[in-house]
Amino acid sequence: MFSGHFGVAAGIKAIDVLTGRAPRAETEARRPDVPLWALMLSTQLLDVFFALLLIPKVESFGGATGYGQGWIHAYYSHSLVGALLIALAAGALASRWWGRHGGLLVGGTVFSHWLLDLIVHRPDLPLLPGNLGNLPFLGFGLWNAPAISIALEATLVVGGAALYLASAIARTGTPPQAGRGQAWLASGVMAALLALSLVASVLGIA
Amino acid sequence: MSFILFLLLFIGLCGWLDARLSSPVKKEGK
Repeated sequence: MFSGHFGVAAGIKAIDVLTGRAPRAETEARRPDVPLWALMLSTQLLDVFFALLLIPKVESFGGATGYGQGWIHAYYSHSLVGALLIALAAGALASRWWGRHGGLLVGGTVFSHWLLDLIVHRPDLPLLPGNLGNLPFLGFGLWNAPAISIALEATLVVGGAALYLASAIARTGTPPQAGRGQAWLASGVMAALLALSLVASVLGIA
Repeated sequence: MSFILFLLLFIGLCGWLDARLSSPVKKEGK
């Protein structure tokens, strides 16, 4: 699961834009937008920590190469409590720039990574950091049914890209045609990168 | 390593295009 996480971030950004544009009380200040890059980084933040912890060999991965074939030994970055702490810290940091709403959005996006991993991973997600107490590992193992897992990921990619396109068009200026090309360009580039990462992941290249 | 490179490419490119998209709206609101 790589592109699926990005699909979720694109969808969250789109829904935030679309709902934020709804008519609001005149006295209410328009809330600050959380930029797309922050949500993209948030959705992969647990894997960023995982990649950093690979260097000192605190965490590792193994198993066969290929789509959904690997196991991770990520006892800190991908434990339930570890993920919650990272999400809380990221949310608190984000709230300094983008307010309470932005903090909740970033924190939720960070934690969405763990929830998606819970669905697809085989049981390799610990509850507590360092697998304290040797509690059972979590993971529903959808990767054991690659066709369904790929379909889920493709749905997230297509859904995220479509929602993002709708929000991008909604953000174009007045008259509506102004900036519509940019909206299609931004959405097209995103969709192409998402599709590329999904294909690479399915082919076992990435 | 390829994960970090793709992440940077994805975030950089999409973030930049998205920021360009946002700027006219901000001007409009003023």
